[in-house]
Amino acid sequence: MAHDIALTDILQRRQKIMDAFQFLGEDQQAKLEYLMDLGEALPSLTAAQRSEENKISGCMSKVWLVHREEKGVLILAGDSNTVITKGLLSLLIQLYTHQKPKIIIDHDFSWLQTIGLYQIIGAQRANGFAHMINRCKMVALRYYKQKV
Amino acid sequence: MPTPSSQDSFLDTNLAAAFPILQQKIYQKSLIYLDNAATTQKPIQVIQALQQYYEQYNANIHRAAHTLSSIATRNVEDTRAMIQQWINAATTEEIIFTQGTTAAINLVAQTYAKQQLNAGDEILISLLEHHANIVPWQMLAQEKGVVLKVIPVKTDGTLDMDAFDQLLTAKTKMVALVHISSTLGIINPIEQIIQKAHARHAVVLIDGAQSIAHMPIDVQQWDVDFFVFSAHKAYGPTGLGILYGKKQYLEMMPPYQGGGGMVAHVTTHQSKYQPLPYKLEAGTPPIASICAFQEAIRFIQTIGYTKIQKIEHALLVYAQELLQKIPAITLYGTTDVKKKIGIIALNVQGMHHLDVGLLLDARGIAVRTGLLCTQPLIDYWQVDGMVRISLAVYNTFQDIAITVQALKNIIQKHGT
Repeated sequence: MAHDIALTDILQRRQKIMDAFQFLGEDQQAKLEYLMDLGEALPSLTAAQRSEENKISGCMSKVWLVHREEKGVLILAGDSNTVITKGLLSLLIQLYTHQKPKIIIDHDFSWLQTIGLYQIIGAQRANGFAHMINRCKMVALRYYKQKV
Repeated sequence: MPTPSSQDSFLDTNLAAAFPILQQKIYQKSLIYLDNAATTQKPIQVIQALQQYYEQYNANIHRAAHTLSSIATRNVEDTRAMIQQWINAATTEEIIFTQGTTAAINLVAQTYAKQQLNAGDEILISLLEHHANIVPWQMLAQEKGVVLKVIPVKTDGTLDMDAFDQLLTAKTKMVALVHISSTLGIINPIEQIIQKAHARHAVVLIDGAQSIAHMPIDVQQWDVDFFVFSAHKAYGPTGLGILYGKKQYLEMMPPYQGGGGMVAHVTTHQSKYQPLPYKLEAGTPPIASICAFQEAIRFIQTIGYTKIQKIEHALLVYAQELLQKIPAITLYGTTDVKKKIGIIALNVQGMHHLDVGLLLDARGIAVRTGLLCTQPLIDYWQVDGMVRISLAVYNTFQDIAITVQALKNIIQKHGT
């Protein structure tokens, strides 16, 4: 039952992102601006948190992800040295923070194609974004395995 | 923003009309292409020549007895002769087709330098080099114990000639230097450098990747030993580079790659090599690109370097004047237009270069961002990348005005 609520929650969050991009339509500039707004709104990490250990490799810009578990859900925060990448990270955090590890592991990201995100950010950044998704899932998997 | 009005007829020319790719829209905005130092776009004549090759005379060269092969062979050799005259080489044997500038530098490093240099000998490069003129020499240094020395730059990005004089010694056997910096657009005083290097009996390789499309080249007047460039940065097709070498040095070079086309007689155990230039051109070259490159050379020659320099100079002056008025923009290297060509490296205060690049792209403006394949130079300014605007002859004052306005908008929204 709790699982169903969590599932509904992540789908609702997903819909919110999809709606935002749908609203922006074909306007490339507006979509980038939106990502930048998200990036600027995401709180920065401390210098200590921007460590080599927290860094996600494979991205064009520098990206860091920190995580902890609280009452069975994962709490995520992150930072980047470029604002657009920080905006992308913000999307991921919007979706994943305060979720159960299992929900994160199971979440299928193919819906990203439908909002045209890859056209906005270009192939190289799309690749970096895949690394970010991967890191979130690996973190979730680690917590999930500890529980099982 | 006012566009300079001038009585000069050169401002009226609409060269962009000959470039189909420039007619398109990117995200519903007219494309403004300002990444010409990476590669230039191709005029319709070059595109048609490529198609003509495949439609009418596609055949391997130097081999078959049939008509198509002789047409292709003649065309390839015509290109070689055109290049010889274009850069004023003494003979066509001194023009070697390679895959690009990078391949040409590697060829010289792995044949001439590998054979002629010994442990302890020194190679001089500069801080302005593209990675293509750093890494091949580092590899040689590791392999042969040759010592790599780097000419520093002054705070305005120009070469420190006093340091060059100090570094150039009897130990210097080779000077491998960029003609025009791909990041800053700065033109190095290569004639002076070649003279000084020759006085020390050092051989000089000049990386002309950024000069070939923008200023006349005269290898004999400069007395340069090796001069390398790529066709694709001079309105030509990709996959083709040119190595010019003085005959005496090319003859010293052992064949690098073995294969068809470079041999005169082969038994299973031994081969007799072809004379120059073929001994250094193993395998099937990019025939279509070589043939079509003629049209690119013709494009440049029809406009003429005098007019090309006049147009690009005017665009550079205009762009720098506008950019210098924006406090949030930092320009790197000298802005003295007598010392550079139309390449401008910049950063926006408080913004990452990648973000600036993507925001410009969303407005249909193509620029290069990042380390620009010149990491040592970028490190010198202690930044982790730059935004680079690089001009070609088809760019317009309007391109510059729109780009500067876009930068202003971006700064207003996102700058600090």
